[in-house]
Amino acid sequence: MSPNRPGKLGMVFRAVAPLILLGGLIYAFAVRGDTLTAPIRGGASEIPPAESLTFEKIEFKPAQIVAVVRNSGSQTLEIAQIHLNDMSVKGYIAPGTKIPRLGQATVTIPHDWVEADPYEIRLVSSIGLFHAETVDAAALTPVANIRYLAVFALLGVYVGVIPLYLGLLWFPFLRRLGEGSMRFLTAFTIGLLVFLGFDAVFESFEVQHKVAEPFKPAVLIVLGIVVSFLILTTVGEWIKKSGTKKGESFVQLGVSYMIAVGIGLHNLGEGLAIGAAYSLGAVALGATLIIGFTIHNTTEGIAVVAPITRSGASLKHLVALGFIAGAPTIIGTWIGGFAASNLWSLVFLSIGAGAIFQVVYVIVKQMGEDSLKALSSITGLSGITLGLGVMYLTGLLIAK
Amino acid sequence: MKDDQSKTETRFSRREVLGQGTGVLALGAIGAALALAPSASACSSCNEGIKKNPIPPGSVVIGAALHDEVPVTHDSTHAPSPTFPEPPDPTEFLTQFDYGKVTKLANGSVRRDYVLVATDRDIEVAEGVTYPAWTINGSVPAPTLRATEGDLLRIHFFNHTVRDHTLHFHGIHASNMDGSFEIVPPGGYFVYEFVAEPFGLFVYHCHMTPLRKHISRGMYGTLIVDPKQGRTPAHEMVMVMSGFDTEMSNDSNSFYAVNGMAFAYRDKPIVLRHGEPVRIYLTNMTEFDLINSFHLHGDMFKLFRTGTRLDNYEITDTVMLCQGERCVLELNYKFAGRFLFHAHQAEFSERGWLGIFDVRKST
Repeated sequence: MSPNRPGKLGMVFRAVAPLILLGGLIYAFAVRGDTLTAPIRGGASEIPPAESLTFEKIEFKPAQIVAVVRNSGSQTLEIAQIHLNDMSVKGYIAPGTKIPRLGQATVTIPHDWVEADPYEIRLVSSIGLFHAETVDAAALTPVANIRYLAVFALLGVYVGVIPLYLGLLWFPFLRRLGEGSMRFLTAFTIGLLVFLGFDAVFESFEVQHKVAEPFKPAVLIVLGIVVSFLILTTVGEWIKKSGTKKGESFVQLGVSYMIAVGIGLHNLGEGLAIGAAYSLGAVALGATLIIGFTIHNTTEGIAVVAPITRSGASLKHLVALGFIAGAPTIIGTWIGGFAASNLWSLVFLSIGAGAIFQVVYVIVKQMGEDSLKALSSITGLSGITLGLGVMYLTGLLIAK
Repeated sequence: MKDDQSKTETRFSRREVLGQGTGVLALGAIGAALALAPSASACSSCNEGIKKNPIPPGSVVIGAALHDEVPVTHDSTHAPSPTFPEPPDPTEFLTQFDYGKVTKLANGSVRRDYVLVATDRDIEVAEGVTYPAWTINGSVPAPTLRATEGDLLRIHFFNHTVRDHTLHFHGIHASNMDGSFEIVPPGGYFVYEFVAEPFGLFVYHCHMTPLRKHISRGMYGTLIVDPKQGRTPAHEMVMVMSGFDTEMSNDSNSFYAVNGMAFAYRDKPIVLRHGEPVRIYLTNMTEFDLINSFHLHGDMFKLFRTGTRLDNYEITDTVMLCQGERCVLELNYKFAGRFLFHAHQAEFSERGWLGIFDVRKST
């Protein structure tokens, strides 16, 4: 027996009624909250609020240290004092000493800081709690101007674009490989990508601790991975559907572009990290690090062209692929260098991870019904292992 | 003027490592374009900034500062030349006293002019360990100044560094000679003038905030004011106890030393002549650790606290000094031979504050 279908107005009422009740309940708690929650609190009138303050950015300017903080606790937090390296100092705070929940404040400390010395900034709250953050080695924070944009762009070109195109230069060689070698190359690519994927996941885990807890960074990581995986799957299906009309080579090229997008997102995250680290003075970007990134990212070029070694591609496409995969590094270094945000680093890193895992999934699927058998053969195993190994070894060169 | 003579040129300070990183990057990878970027060298504009930085718009003031005062610089037209000799090694430092340039005044008293120059310098604080010190006359500890009770002292202080400094003398002087509010800017010059009184043993040090950093980086020294009638003849030496926070932890010392070098007198014992009285001017300029101490092996010493009395003493073999405290020790070894002296905190003595007296019979 099915209920009678109500009229239009009745439908609206049925949809809105729970919301009205919810609104009433929130209003009641907002107005009479203390009375209503008293039994839960067991008669205690005041539960000490758990304060939490997240340092989002610390900049070293001439004779000034500037910290941007966010109240990541559940209540308004009031800053009462500033301690610099365990010393009470004079400073300024904008917009005010009271920071609302999830609100931001900028603390400026006039101080003749010493380059390369460690600094601990400690903000003392009105209830006497310490909220501190340490910078291991102070260095002048770059300001966004044409000169620095150019410097960061070159940095991006060196660690992102050039290595990728270098990797693409193997294309003519790869094209002449036989069936067995191709299977090996595919397995090798899977190894490379799996390493990159896990690398991105673990990097986002690291950044997670620097993101204000209310933003639920762990959930954001999962969301980034799942959503990018699903979106790229949909794109992949669309390419496949079009491919049945346009032929096999179109599908292969599509896979290459998807790999390029995945690696591009990964490199965007990498660029963010490099830019942020450079501007925070956390890394000395010596030649070793540049060489490390160059070798490491050259392997990414191989991964991009692996699917099209059979079908081939015009120079136009090769240039575009390299650009999509490599150029985001430049944008990453810009954003990371001037607007270092752990939240965005985390978002891009997890999106990149999802994209890379999706590409691995596509490649495995392309190997056909016996893909598992192919991968567990000596050729497949050695290819994957070598791919992981090459990434691991070249990764040692860029270890911080 | 920066003094960059490093005793161990093969080692790098933190600053150099950062600087080198940028250098290699410029050469190896990015080339000419990066050369346009500011180098990672010392921030010479820092001091400009601290005065010019306006209150950030929309900001509220939190806390107060000791040094909001405008920097003070004296007219240096008739100032002496800001030159200083090559810093002494620990053995030379023991017996090197700066009596200043002596001028007899019309009333029969004596004026002494000293030249002290604040200068940054990398020094070796323990074997093979270089420390980016902030020094006076390139020496840690700073030169031992010596005068007689009643002398008029003029200390000509030149700040040849990139940051504010001051000199603060313990003892009796006018308020504006105290070096706590009169900060001397980079390139600045200040004359501290006061009468040396009373006789005794004093310390002087930079009093700029953050004090911990300005003292622990090496800006401290000793002032000996002799009594008019003098003390009894003795083999005299100065020992400044201190520590070095080479890790820049800002809360503890990595090495301990007397006269600036860990284990200096273990590796090169202090030779004493058997039968000759010895007088040690002992000061404690250790930062972070609340106290330091001196313990003598194989004999005992007369202890004159702060050296301000000649008659009142205690006989002991161990003395504990708080930060900034000092005393005069007089001893005369009964037996010849090798005797240790060290802090009686084992963690200090085992990390550098330990030496040897080699008491030799005269032949």
